[in-house]
Amino acid sequence: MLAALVVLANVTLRFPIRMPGHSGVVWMALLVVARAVVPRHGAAAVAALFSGIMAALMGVGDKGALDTVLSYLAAGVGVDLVMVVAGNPERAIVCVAAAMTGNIFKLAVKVLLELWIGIPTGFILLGRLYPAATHVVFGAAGGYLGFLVLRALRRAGFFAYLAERR
Amino acid sequence: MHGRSLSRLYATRPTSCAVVPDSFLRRADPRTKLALSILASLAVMLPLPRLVVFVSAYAVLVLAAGLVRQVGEQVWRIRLLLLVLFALDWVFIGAGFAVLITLRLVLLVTSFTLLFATTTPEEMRQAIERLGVPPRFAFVFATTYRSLELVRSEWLGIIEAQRARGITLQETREWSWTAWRARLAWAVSLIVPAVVLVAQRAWSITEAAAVRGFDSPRRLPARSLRLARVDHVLLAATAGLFAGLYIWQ
Repeated sequence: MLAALVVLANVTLRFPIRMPGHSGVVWMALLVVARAVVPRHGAAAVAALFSGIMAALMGVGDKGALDTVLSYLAAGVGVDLVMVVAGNPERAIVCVAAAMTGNIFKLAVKVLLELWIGIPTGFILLGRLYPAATHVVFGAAGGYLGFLVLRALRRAGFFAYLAERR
Repeated sequence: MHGRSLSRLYATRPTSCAVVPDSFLRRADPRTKLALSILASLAVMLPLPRLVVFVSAYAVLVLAAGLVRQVGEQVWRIRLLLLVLFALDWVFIGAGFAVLITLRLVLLVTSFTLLFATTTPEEMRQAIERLGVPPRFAFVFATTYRSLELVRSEWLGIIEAQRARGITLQETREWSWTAWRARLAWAVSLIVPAVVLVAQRAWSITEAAAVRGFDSPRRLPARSLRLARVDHVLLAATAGLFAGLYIWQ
């Protein structure tokens, strides 16, 4: 269900900023929240994969379905990887690192696809330098947003409610 | 939330996926279409002469399947990138290389249209299950897709409730710390209730599925996919094409 939220947020919920990677703010925040709400390895990756397939079915994404599915999946894998290593998503630094990695992984998929089809490395380096920087910044903002959401949910007793239901 | 995003959310009809109803690929098994899409993506590794042959065959398939509009839309979305890349490649490397990169990019961007423009979410769920993914995950995918419309309406409800309370995002390009704090606070006020509602919905679905015996060890699928003649023809033709391209080497 959080995957549905990820897709809808990606389609509609955008900050009015025209810079590459800015969609990662809400997107990465939701992936961080998904990983904290379902505390299992791979939870963010599964949510990301499902949201990627749904986005592809809806025709979202400007570089085709393969790019869409792989970008979504990579973002989830990035978030999961950091969470597996760092553990506790209650700390702001963990959320920020996870979201930053997720947003960079998303960009990395695009770069890998470009390398795969043989676009010269120089062109890619030139073209992707500025987006790489903005992806780091917006990823970090997304992680901090995820941390704020998790803190608000914790204060509202959401995690106690979940533990009770389980 | 600023006006453009809100109108986009009202306009979004998430569950109305753009499946082409009269395409002959609708009769093909999703696994066959997945195989064709993957093979088309892998064909980007071919050198120019063989790539031209493959793209020609691919164009015939797209034409026969009635997917010209869908493929055209995908290409139109990247027209600027295609033009810039073509010009740069031509100027710095050569015309042949520019054509090669353009064909590869077009193929990679459009290859999965064969699958996603001709497969319904339900067929996708069946395919996911037949590919060995546990039924629980396939069920989660199908349920989530069907719930998109519901989640969307709940999301709209939250936005309208927050607007009624005066919580809106001012459309500003300011980069100050205060502006960013306001943006994040606005996003928190939207995401927190959405996550709570979605979690409650997920629990209800889990309980309803359990009551209906979803976790039963003797659970059988209501319908399962089978390869038909059209699948065999498509797979054989693709295998023949790749074999021909390999021999041509």
